[in-house]
Amino acid sequence: MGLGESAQRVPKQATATNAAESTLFLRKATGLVRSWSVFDAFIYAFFSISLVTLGLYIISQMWFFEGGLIPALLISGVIILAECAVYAGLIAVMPRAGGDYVWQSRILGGGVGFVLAITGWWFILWLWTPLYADMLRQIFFVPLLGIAGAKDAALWFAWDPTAYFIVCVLTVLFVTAVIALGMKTYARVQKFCFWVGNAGLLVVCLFLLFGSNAGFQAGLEANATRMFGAAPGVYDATIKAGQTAGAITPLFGGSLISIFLLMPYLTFFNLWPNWGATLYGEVKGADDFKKNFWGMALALLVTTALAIVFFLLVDKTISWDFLNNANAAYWSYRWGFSTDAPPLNVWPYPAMLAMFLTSNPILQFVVLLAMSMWFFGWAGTVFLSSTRVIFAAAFDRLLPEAAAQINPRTRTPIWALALMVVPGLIVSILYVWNIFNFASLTLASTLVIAVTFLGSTIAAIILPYTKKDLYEASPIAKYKVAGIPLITVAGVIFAAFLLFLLYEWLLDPNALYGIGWSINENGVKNTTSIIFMLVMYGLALGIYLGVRSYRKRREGIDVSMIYKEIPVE
Amino acid sequence: MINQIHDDIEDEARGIIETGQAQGIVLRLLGGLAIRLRAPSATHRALARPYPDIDFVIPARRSHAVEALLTSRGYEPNKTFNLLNGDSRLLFYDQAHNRQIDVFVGAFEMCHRLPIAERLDKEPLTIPLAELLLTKFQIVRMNEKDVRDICALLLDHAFGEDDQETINLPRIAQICAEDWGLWKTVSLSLRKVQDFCDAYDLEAAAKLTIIDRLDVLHMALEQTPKSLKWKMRAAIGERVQWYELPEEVQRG
Repeated sequence: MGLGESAQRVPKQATATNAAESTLFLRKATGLVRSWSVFDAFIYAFFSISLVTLGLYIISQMWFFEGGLIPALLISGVIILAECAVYAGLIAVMPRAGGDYVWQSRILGGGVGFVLAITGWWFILWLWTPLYADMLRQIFFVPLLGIAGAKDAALWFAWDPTAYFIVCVLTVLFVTAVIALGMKTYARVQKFCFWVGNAGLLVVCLFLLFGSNAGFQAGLEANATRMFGAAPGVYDATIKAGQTAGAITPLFGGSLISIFLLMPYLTFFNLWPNWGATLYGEVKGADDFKKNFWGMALALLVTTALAIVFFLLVDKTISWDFLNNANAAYWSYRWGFSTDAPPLNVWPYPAMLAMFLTSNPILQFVVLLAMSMWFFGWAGTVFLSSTRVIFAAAFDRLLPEAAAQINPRTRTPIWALALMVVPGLIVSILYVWNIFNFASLTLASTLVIAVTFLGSTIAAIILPYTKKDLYEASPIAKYKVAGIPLITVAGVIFAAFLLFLLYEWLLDPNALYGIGWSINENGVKNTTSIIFMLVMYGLALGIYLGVRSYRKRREGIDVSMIYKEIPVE
Repeated sequence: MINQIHDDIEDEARGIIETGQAQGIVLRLLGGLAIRLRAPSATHRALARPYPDIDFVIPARRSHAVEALLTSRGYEPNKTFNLLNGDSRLLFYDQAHNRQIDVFVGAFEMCHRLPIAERLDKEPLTIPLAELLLTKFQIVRMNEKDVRDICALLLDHAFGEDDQETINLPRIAQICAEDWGLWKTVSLSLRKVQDFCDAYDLEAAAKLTIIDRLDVLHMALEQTPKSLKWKMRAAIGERVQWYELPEEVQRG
């Protein structure tokens, strides 16, 4: 059409005597202002590795390691920059809705692409539903109800499975609503949450900076007893309970190997700067490698820096030793390793602990409400990226066309969301009531996605060689390291990291993670985890083979031919 | 599905609007074809140009109805594009005539956002002339066709206080007085059109008419009181990019 840009500059000075300063342009096709700016994509990436939700949640479960947390954050952050380069490259070559699914199916083949993308971007997100909900109750319901004086309600949300399941339902309702608002409104919501959440974090950091350990101990004693009915002497009792549970993780130090052993846990938090990859069909300038890279890399670097500063401030005032012991006391009881309830009888949310430095409940409430924006700005990530993978598979006719349909009134992708929400709630029931030991599967949520990322990384490594024309015509062709394509070099580094993670998770030689089939005699052989993952891969493979056969027999369509073409925007 | 698409693009556009009206769907033309319908000078040998596309604007939340209307006429929707962007834009193809229909939903958003869906009831076929002119003036990287379209509109319509056959000057000035970025682009576009219209094979009187009308618009843009938002953005000025550059969409 004639109203947009997409232009090439065409000097016209020769045609106009007065046009020495002016030029006209040549437009070739329809122009579109895409829904998201690069900054919106940065915020999405920033929230995808959300320090306050994912970070604090998983780090609280890492109390039994010998390696230092801060070196682990730094080293993993540097390695994950390679992931940013891999994904920024793939996006620049093929900026399509569906991301990993499109790249893998076009580079590695339809079967591999479908199975890996569907498991990593769809099925495993069912397991993330109760995990998101757990974070919501711990950073929103429990502390805010406690501050508001509703002690019993706070403790109900903290410990009762029914309350936990209600939060699962509320989580999916919120996520569905925020996705139904559309990409532009979603961007506005996450931008609001970004600024308010960061303002809240700044206040928390100021309290930690100017507070003292003595002040914290007094605040803990006063607030924990008032808000949650903790017994007097909670500070010392917590340290003792933590030591009994075996809390040892230091903030610094440890051998390189012991530091690396933190990473299969830590990546639950920081492996996702690329989480917007499936949405880049809707981001402005997505074929710009540098913009894509820095959008993800800055999110990773800023988050890593924030995490380091935050834990240093925690160490200064609360003390890392106390927090680590509190974490150990809480999780060892929750996981059933100990029958003694933790003296601080709620999850030791560091922001809440920091706000114990003031006795003003209004200030506590306002700051923790602002901190909860870290959840609300991030929550949509559980399903939003996945809907695009479902759309892309539906456009390829690997899923029914209805999966890519939207409600005409609300423009909500109801079927795509239903495919996330309904199984998500079923898995939530299994997780919340720990049926079949489902509560042990937390890290499987990361493992399955890491397998998907490995598929895309292999696709990135071979892209310059197997899709030479596509690569040479792309904006990333000019980026080379010692003559080797940057995307290949970055891919090899990231693939090695993923293989290390998968080895640790699956074979668990040091008996640390509990989601694989440990080769250590003291390790866990987690049958539930193995069966759950096998069922998911089997289901994906079954759908692929079934649909391929159905299309061939009933419609005469050879699905493999679809994968020979790159989908249109 | 029966293909009901007219060979003549103007007949086709009118046919879609009439069918829409019968179904309670308000569609109004914009873009080059709308200008051809409103400005006979667009067919002048010096300003004539091809019309490969039909551009419509519809009210918000009417995407689904329009999608049903156009597909029933034989158009092929760009399914991926419409799914991802359907709350603001829709694309359809007429493969037989190698034409495309571009539908703006609820607003016009290209280099600048224009509230063109607010006054769809003013004219039976197109958006009002003021908005029509603005959709062309808001383009940062104008092409030859844009300049010709603007010249045709200005040649056939004087500025006035209301719509119908005059270009509603207060409306343009007011929209620009709310948005510094739009004001800036329109101001730059004015100069560009002034520079280029001299190159076209138009009669001297016609060129003079265009130049005079550009001056009238320039004066109105300068003299209309500006909003606080406009002034705050003006203080930042050109240090921050004030426009969007729409990206090319691959044809499905």
